[in-house]
Amino acid sequence: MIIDCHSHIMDPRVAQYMATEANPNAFKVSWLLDQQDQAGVDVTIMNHPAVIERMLVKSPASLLKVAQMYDDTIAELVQKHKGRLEALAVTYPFGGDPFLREFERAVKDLALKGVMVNPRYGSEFLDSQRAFPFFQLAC
Amino acid sequence: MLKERIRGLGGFFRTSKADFESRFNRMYFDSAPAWWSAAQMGVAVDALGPGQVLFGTDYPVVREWMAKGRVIMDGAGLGAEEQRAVMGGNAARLLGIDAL
Repeated sequence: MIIDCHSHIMDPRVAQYMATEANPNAFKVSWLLDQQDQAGVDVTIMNHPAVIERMLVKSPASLLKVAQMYDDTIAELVQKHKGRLEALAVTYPFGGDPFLREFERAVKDLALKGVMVNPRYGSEFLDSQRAFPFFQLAC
Repeated sequence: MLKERIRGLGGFFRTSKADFESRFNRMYFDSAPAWWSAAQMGVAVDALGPGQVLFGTDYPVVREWMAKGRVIMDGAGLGAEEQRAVMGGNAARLLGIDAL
């Protein structure tokens, strides 16, 4: 089984909250499936931690709502293309309880395979003490 | 060699050898984006260990990267067991993905 563990898909409903434009190729699920067929890739793991990082500038008040929206839309895609697509959730690792609950919902209820985070969000890095609860839950 | 070099920093970070080993073995490195040479990927798998590397492409930053990623890994000089692990076995085990 060939697994591409690092690819991206973006939903337009989520993209509107990002400070920079998403790659237009990322909206086309049919292209991804075509590329999988051409490359002989059985399963693609989708992730997009940049969603949250790029929102910090444009829409900080909507972080949780958009994390939930991203998790829901990506889980829909996984269900629609079962066996071909899997996904990781997004989160804001310094966000505290609301984001920890969303992380749990994404894995336990939506069956996403985990979460992907960027090394930093704005000027705050993952070794910040504010990320400890996130790592406690993840590990 | 890379692992030994990082382990050599253990004293600096006040980390014991056993502690380092257990932590390092929980780290995985994905091969994205698909712009490395096959030779570079061969060195990466050799240095990090075939159990710690996952195939990744960063599609669709460049649309052709998924196919190109396969070509790179096919040319990396990996044995059959290493190929199976890097190209899917490691990710399946790590993320709980059932074989098709």
